[in-house]
Order: sequence, then C-alpha cells, then structure tokens
Amino acid sequence: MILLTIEKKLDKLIEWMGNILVIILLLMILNVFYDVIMRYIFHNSSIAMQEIEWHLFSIVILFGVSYSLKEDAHVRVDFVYDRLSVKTRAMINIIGTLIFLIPFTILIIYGSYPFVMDSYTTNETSSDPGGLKHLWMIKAAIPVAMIVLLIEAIHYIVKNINIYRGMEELPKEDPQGALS
Amino acid sequence: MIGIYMFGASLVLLVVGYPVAFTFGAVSMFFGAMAAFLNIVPDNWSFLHFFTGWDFADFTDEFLQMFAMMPFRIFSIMTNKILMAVPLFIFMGIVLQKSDLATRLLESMGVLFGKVRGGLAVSTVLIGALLAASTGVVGASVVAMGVISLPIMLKHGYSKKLSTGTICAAGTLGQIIPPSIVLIVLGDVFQLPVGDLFKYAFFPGLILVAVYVIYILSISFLHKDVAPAIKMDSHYTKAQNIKKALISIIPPLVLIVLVLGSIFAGIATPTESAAVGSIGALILAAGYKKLSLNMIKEASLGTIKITAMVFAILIGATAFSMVFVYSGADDITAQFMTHLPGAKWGFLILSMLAIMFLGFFIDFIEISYIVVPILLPIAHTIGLDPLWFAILIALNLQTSFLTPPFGFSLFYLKGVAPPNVKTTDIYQGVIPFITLQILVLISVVVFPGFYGFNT
Repeated sequence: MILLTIEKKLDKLIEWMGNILVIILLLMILNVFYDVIMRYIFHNSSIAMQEIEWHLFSIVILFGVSYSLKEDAHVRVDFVYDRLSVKTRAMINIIGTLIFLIPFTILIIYGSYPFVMDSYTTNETSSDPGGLKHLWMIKAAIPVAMIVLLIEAIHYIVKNINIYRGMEELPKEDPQGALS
Repeated sequence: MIGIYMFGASLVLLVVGYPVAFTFGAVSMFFGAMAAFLNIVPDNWSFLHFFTGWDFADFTDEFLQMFAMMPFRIFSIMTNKILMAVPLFIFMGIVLQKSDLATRLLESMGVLFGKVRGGLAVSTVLIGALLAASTGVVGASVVAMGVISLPIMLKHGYSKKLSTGTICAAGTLGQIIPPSIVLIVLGDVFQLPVGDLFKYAFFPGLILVAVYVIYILSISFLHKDVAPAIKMDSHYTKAQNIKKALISIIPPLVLIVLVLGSIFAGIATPTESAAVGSIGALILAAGYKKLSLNMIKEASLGTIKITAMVFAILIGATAFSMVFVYSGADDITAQFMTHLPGAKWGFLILSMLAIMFLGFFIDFIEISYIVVPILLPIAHTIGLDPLWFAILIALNLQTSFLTPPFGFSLFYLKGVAPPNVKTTDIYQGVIPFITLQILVLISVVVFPGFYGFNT
C-alpha cells in the first residue's frame, strides 16, 4: 500500500512540474514571436530577450526528460518488448532504471559540479554586450534537472514494482502519442 | 576497437526494449570505463594478474576526465538555436492537427476527386503532401488518414493493399517535405543551414508526390477493380462543395507558404518562422472554432514529450560519440570506409545500405545522432557534397518508416485500421511505394544536377 501512496505522490509532483513546463513552453513561443516582431517590424532587438529564448528552451528540454519518463514517452526498440508479458516488461524497466538510468544520471550530476562552480566563482556573464548576467544559474539547471530525473527514476521504479505485483493496470498505448 | 564492440553491444541491448536514450548513455558509460581501464594499465598487463599493476585512482581519474565533458556538451545543446525550431514546429503541427485540419481536407477533396478512377487515393496523396508541409507529424497524418480516408476507400471497393499503402506512403511524406524534424536534426548534425536543407528537400519531395500519383493512376487504369470510380453522396451542389474545399484548403496553404516562403527566401531563420507559424496555427484554430485552453495545454504537453525525448537521445548519443572517439573507433571506421572498392561510390552505397538496414530496427533520431556523425568526417574526406549527402540520408530515413516489419507508419495505421485489414495487407500494400522511394533515392544519386545539386 505504501508503494502505491509513494507512486501517487511522486506522480502528482511530476505532473505539476509538467504544467509549469507548459507555461514555460508557451512563454518561449511568445518570446521568439515577440523578438521576430521587434526585429522585422520595429528593427529593434534586445540581446537579453534573445538570450531568454534559449534559457526557456533549456528548462523545457532539461526538465521535460523527467516528464517524458513519467508519461513513458521515450522511444524504445519495441518489436520484442511489445510481445513480452506485463511482468517481464516491468522487470526490464526496474532493472534498466537501476543499472542504466540512475548511474548515468549520477555521473552527469557529478561532472556538472565543477562546471557550475567555475561559472559561479568567476561570476561568468554572457559574452554578448547587453546579454544576461549570472550565467551559473542556467548552468545549474543541468544538475537540478538531473536530480529531478533521479526522483522520477524512483517514481518509475515504484510504478513498475506496482505493475509487477499486479496492483496497477498498464495504460493503453496511444498510437498518436508516439514520435512524429 | 572498444568503440566498435560498443556499437554492437548497444544494438543488442536496445532489443531488450529499455528506452533508447538511456541505453545508449549507460552502454557508453560501461564501455568508457573499459576503455579508460585499458588505457591506464601498462602494456604488459594481463587479465591473469587482474588486481596488480594498476592504480585504482588512475582509473577513476581517467574515466571521470572523459565524462567531465558531458555538462559542456549538454550546455551547447541548450544554447543551440537550430534545435529550438524542433518544439516550435511540433507545436505548430499538433495545433493544426487538433483543429481537425486533416478531417476537413479529406472530406472536401474526396468529394471533388472521387469521380476519377483512383481519385480517392490520389487525393489522399495530395492531402498527405499538404499535411506534410504544414505539420510534418508523421504519426498524426497516418492516423488521421487511416481513420477518415481508409474506411471511405474500402467502402467504395478500393483494394486493401492500395488503400493502406497509399495512406502509409502519403503520411510519411512529412519526413521529407519541409518543415520536417529529420531535416532540422540533420542540419544540426551536419552543421548546415536548415533553410538550405529545407530548400533542397522540397523538390525530391514533390517528385515523390508526382511519382505516387502517376503510380496510382496507372494501376487503377490497368486493373479496373483496384480503385473504381465512385459517386460520393453529397447534400451540397458542386459549387458549394468547391467553396467548402477552398475554405478548408486556403488558410493552411497560406500559412505554409508564409512559413516555408520566409525560410526559402532567407528572410527568417527556421526558428523564427516556426514561432510565427505556431502563432498562425493558433489563429487558424481559433478561426475554425477549435481553440481552447485545454487544447493548448494538450498540444504543449505533446510538444514537451517529443522534444524532451529527442533531447534525451541527443545526450545519450553525445556520451556514445565521446567514448567512440576516445577509443579511436572513428579512425578504424574511417580506415575501413575510405578503402572500399569504388572509392566514393563504395562508401556511398555502403553507408546508404547500412542506414537502410539500421532503419529496419532503430529510429531516425538515433541514426542521425549515432550513425551519421561516424559517417560524416569520412564523407568530408572523400569530398561528398554535404548537402547532397544529407538529402540522401533524409530520403533513406523516410523509407525506414515504411519498411516491414517495424516501420512506424505501419504500426500507426494498424492501430486504427478496421479489423478486417490484416497486417499482411499493409505490408504488401507498402511494397510498391517503398520501391518508388528507392527509385527516387537512386535518381537523386545518379542525377544530382536535376535536383539542383552541384556535385
């Protein structure tokens, strides 16, 4: 029972983050659109506004990885996987997350510590005049997103344990949800 | 040599079915550790004395040094303006799709073209091309046409093979007709302007459409029972039908012309055009009374999922290529590929066959980020025109969507087809279209000048 509760709580957390990402994505679209209008109609572009574009983009892609995992939207080579039983699939997901995803994520977190700290201690700013200051903040989004990915990895393991124990139905696959 | 083994091991492990992105990442990590270990042990070291003759700290240093580059690579993905076009074009496509663009197009064009023999199939191809130029979301196009067009064709006595083959082929046009995600990804890998790729992919895409149409018309002329002429029931007069068709075709067509036109003319970057296109798609959706907060939210979540998935594969592929290069496997591959018989042609044929073969099993994104970077420096050494090579790869990858047994389009269609349409019908149905695609691919190889390349 406790595993189901943990799963639900974490699911809600990542779902909530997904909603935030929706807002950030829409802001990014408006941001790029605004910059286009300013540049082509008013011939006036702001470096800072253009840099915010890729800051928003970065947040969407970095944190989106966790949301995609929760939604099981990461592509698989599925010609064998689809023919396996629900239990075997759950086992593949549990083991894969433990020995593939989690160590790889930790490795990135480990590597990004000096990367972010260097930027922070040297007070790195954008190389363009009029660009944004405090570059370390967006660089720090890498380890933060990876920590969120670890949390989602735990959620994913718990979810698959629940599936393995038959406490949960596998969601039906949506033929449109997959890749373009 | 480790890198070559790693490539084989990745392919084997992928079959298990754990997400591709993380499998690549983790396999690179393990093989990276192995390569680092072999690098720090002395030459006379052997597995018989495993625990002696090397220092653990040396090993961890070497290994962590290798992966210390990861954050830098991730950061350069984050600041990549080309890749920012990916979510924007996906968002535009999903919004158009959710405003029932496909449904309206199919309904009105079916009424107009149904009277010609094979006309329903031809209109499916034309709509596929239009959807490709406006959304480029292959799954969505195939599903939409499978739901709407397939029952109509079957009801009027079209053969199952021709109907399913046409839908798969027409839906897959989104891969080659700009704006397509493959071309953006290849632009990133090749370091070529995406606008140029769009421009040069457009003509081969149109040729494909023409070839499909000619094929359908000829086969329906030769075999009278394959695609009979029909009389569609309609409550409207002919003039009303034409008016309805125009209302559903012209606004998206204007949007397409604006978005692609501004890229081709070099006025705007693909990213800028895509943002304008996204806003335009929202306005169109509002015009068709399909716009709602819920729809925007769903389109955004769909966009986030696909974009993040591409990004995750890119991270995995980055780790892979780091270890691949570290272990010197790139030199081994280059050695092999540059010493093939037939020089340039040997390389071209082998790389095309390799991509096509891998396309049976893995996805275009993995091929673009893992296989293409291996081939690219060799193509450069040999002196192939990168633009030409990129378009050939894009055409080739398109075929992988159709090749049984694992082509994506086939799955999408099977998922929505009525139960009396068997998987084998779809497999047999796409074979003529795969043949046509390969012929067009060969024509681009043999007559590059005709397609505007100067090789």
